[in-house]
Amino acid sequence: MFPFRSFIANLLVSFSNQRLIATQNSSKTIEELEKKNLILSLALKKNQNLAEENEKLRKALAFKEDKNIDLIGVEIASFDPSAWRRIAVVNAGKDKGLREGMFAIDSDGFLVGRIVDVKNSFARLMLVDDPEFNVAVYIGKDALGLLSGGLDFIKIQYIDAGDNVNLNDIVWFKVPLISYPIYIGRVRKINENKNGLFLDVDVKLFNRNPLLKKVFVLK
Amino acid sequence: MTEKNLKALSTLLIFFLLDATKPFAYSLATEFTFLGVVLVCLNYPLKVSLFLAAIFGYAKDLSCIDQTSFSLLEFSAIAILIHYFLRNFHRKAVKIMIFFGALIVHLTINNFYINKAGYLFSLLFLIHSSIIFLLINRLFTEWISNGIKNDNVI
Repeated sequence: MFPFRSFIANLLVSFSNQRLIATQNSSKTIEELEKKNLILSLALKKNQNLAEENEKLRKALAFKEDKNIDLIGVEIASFDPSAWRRIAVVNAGKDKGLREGMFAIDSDGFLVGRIVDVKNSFARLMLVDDPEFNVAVYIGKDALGLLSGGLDFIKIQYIDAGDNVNLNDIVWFKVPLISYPIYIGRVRKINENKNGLFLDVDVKLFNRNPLLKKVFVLK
Repeated sequence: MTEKNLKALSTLLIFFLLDATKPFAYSLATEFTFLGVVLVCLNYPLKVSLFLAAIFGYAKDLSCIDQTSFSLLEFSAIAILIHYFLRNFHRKAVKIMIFFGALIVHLTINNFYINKAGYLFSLLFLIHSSIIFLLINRLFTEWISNGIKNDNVI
């Protein structure tokens, strides 16, 4: 139905790549330093978590042995032209080892989105505030819920009404096989669900940089 | 292709690139391609505007993640409807009414399409799109009329 479907995305990605060639050497060094910095900051956050809590979570989620964290630095080349979607096209695809389901973080280590479509030279990254974005998250120490993106507010649903959730609690999640906590945002508002069984929570994202150009994909 | 048609084509191309590259990221809640299609429909004959609406609707569908012909159908229908209203209503404010009508139709069907209405976003979209349309409408009509004046001189 769409014989030229990849053409426009490829065109925009190649423009972005051409722009990068001039500063490739220096940008590679910067990227390596940024990666190291990010890995260190993630390790720091990891150490800030209580050992006891980590042990409990590892047991609960049947975590396997920790893998070493690895990142792929990618540039945002273009966006989905619809104002109702929050999808970015990044200038790396299967050629750089990207796969569907991988998560992306910004240079501060906060969650940006998830890879949803991978082609040879580019991939589509669904941002956290896309209406179709969903991920299971922790709130504070041990409450669990489902974070759903949205154009107005980012919400967490299905939190047990008995769970201890407070304003400004940190919302975070763990990528399977990597035990580093990835921070998403803070609790902004707490509402009781109509049926009284669950809590609905509004989240304020940590990553609020609308002009984000570079992201790191967790391998 | 006349100079006037080329101007419409290049304007829509620039608007499409603005939507795809989003230099202001998501701080601007608007769709330049949609505004461009409405602008062209209000200033050009049906044949040209339907052709351009279909081309850019198709281009938008190609760049979107959903594999549908949603924009192709929507933009073509909007082009036909705008010309229908322009032909049947001749009041002074008809163009403004048509623009707001098209904007509300676009908002409604997109909210239905994603199955999640964002009220705050919809309000922002209305405000941002109206302001940008007022600006581009003025610049675009001046640009076209300048071209016509120059043609007459030659």
